[in-house]
Amino acid sequence: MTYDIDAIIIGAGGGGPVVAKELGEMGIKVLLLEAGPWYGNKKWPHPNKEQGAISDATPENLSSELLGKHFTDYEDDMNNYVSGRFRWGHADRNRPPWFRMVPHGGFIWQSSGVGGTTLLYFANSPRAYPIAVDDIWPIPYRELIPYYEKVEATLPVSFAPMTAKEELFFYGAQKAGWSLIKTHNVTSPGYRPQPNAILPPPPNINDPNLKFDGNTVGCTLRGHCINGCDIGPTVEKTAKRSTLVSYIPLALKTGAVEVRPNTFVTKILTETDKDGLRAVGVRFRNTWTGEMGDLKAKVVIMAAGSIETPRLWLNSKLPHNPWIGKGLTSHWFDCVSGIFDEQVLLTILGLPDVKPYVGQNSAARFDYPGLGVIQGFGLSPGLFSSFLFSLSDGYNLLGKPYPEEPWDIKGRVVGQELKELMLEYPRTLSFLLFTDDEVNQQNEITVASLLRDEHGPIPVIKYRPSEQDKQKRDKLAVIAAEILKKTGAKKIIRSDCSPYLFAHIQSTMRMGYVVDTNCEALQVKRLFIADNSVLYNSLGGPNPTLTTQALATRTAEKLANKYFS
Amino acid sequence: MNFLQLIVDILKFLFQGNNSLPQTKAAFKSLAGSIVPNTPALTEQDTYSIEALNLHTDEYQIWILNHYVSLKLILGNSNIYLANATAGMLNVAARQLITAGRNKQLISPTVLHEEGPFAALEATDRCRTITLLEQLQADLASLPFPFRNNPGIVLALISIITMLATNGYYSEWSGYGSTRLEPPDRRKIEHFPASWKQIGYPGPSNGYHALRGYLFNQFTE
Repeated sequence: MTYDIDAIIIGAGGGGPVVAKELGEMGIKVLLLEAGPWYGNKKWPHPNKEQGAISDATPENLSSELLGKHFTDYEDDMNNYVSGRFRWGHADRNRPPWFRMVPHGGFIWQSSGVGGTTLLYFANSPRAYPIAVDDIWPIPYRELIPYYEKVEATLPVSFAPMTAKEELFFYGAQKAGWSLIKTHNVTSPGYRPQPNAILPPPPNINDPNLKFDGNTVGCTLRGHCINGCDIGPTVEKTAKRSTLVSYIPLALKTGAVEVRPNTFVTKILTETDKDGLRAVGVRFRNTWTGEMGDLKAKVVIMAAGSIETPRLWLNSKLPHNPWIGKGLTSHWFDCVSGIFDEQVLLTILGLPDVKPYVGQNSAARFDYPGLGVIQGFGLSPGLFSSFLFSLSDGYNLLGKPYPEEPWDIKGRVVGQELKELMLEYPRTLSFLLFTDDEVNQQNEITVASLLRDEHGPIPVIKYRPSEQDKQKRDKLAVIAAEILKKTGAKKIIRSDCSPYLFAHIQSTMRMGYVVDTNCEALQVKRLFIADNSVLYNSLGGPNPTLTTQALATRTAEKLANKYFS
Repeated sequence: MNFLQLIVDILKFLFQGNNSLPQTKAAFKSLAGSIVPNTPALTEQDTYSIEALNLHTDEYQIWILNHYVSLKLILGNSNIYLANATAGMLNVAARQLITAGRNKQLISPTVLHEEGPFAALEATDRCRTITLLEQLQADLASLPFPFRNNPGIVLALISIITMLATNGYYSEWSGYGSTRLEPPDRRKIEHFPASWKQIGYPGPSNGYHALRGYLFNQFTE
């Protein structure tokens, strides 16, 4: 057979570029296909308006100046679910997004584009909890450690700096009697700075003479991790280490990697030989022209995310397996926030407010193996108001909390109450909660039988948390409220998010069930997976990206040894 | 429902397109106004009385709903314009609330006639209407296409409409002024959003001299 390339990777999000860089360094020729646009590249000066070039393989075309133009700093322009640059959809924002069906309501926070959802992630890069891996996953925790270390050094990951909101978080956690933990490998509850994939601020950041012109090396504490970070003198020195600015430039520098945006893979091509079924390539669609094509490769790596990877498997009619798309975990988020009097803040911080828009979006965390995560966060006001006041499925005004509940407000807030609470925006400290939710085969990605878009039957997402998940989440909410109370909050708000906000989408093509311990599909040789879908479970609650990147590093090594040594 | 009725419904739905009917505009004005209402000044801040309607948040909701879904129909990919249908759903549910006597405040017969049942309700009763839909207690068979007898689509839409108002009002969107309904790449910020002034957000910045140190210098492992 004639091959177009050694390896095709589907998806340039959190995992795909990691595999590309690792394989490229070994001299294996890679084509990385991405459904969305490429921001900050001279070959696509207007990535949302015109098709631009077909592909690029040269790091010289990366442009920080263009990235600054494309990332406009405005939250609706960047993160609008329907028309934002970071939406799940076609590069042309005049077209509707690619629709997914969530029959319980809710929405899925994913981004297409080179960098994928790391374009908007907080860059929180904790490891999994060892107790969620050891004697549970098909591989032990110690197997992951060297790969964690490699990714942490490559991104790189460092402990986050404190601004007012982090200082207040740590003050409260200490007052509530919790311990400071100084480890990556968390085995007991406690608080710590976030291990973030963000370059540390320059040492002279507090010098009033330091002008912020966008070219500073390191984080400038501007609070735009989620709305698109473009701070840095070059793309590869951009402060927040989305794969767009970390692994993609490294991959291009190997000289063996070509990246092709605006290319949606609709089918995995296979052949049967004496060893059984094997992947031989992909069928793709140019999202601008609609033109279809086939590409052949010695190996194919699916890294399209926990929704599109199982969708692609199902739409490709690959062999039946009762675990395709099954076992979805999503950390069932919640938010708990506290409002403070100026006087209390002056006493603790020497400042009259806590300014949630200053500092890295999330720079402090509290880990509780067995329950999940509480992490501090602060956002620009449109996103802030949505997280705190609109994600529940019940109104506070139609059902106030019971007196014994440790919060004053619970659920969706509207009307005069919403306006009054938003007036307190500069004096609000917020916590985001991630539940250690359990794998359940009923929680699944399937494809619709009748509804289709230009790429085939659309995905349908079903998720219902268990009673145990609910108990864990409630315990985390009580701990968060206690911390805020000890800190001196005058009013506590629990968002009580519905289970249908999907941001950490994991474990739908699990190791041991769909792929082997090398992340090669059990039923299709030469087909690998390198995204959140191969995670065996929800890691105990920690943010999944680092673990996916560690596994992607390991997968690249195993794949190269098996097929290219 | 018979097949012929379904075809008629689909044709009616497609014919309406993205032109908002008068009752659609009224329903979204009342929805946005319930979420971020006009309020008498509680503080001396002169911006406090600004509300969603001053910032055209209702237009934001309609724009989003008309650009939200695209599916492959017989003739290729088509936009599914949902604003009219969503307003229709709110009105059917509001009428049910009124018929069942579950609204707590009296309604205005004039508004009911001119703007529809949802707009005629008081703000808290509009929340009760949304709850009726959210708990699937409304008569789904009476809802307009594509919501009729389709709880998945009802929940998918109803779960986001509050967020549409908070996003529209508290983000920069109102600052696009006269370009606010243009395609995203043609919008220009014309003024500082009144909602940001209201809550004390200074707008995007390139950085802050705000470092307060580090909790510790290195991890132990």
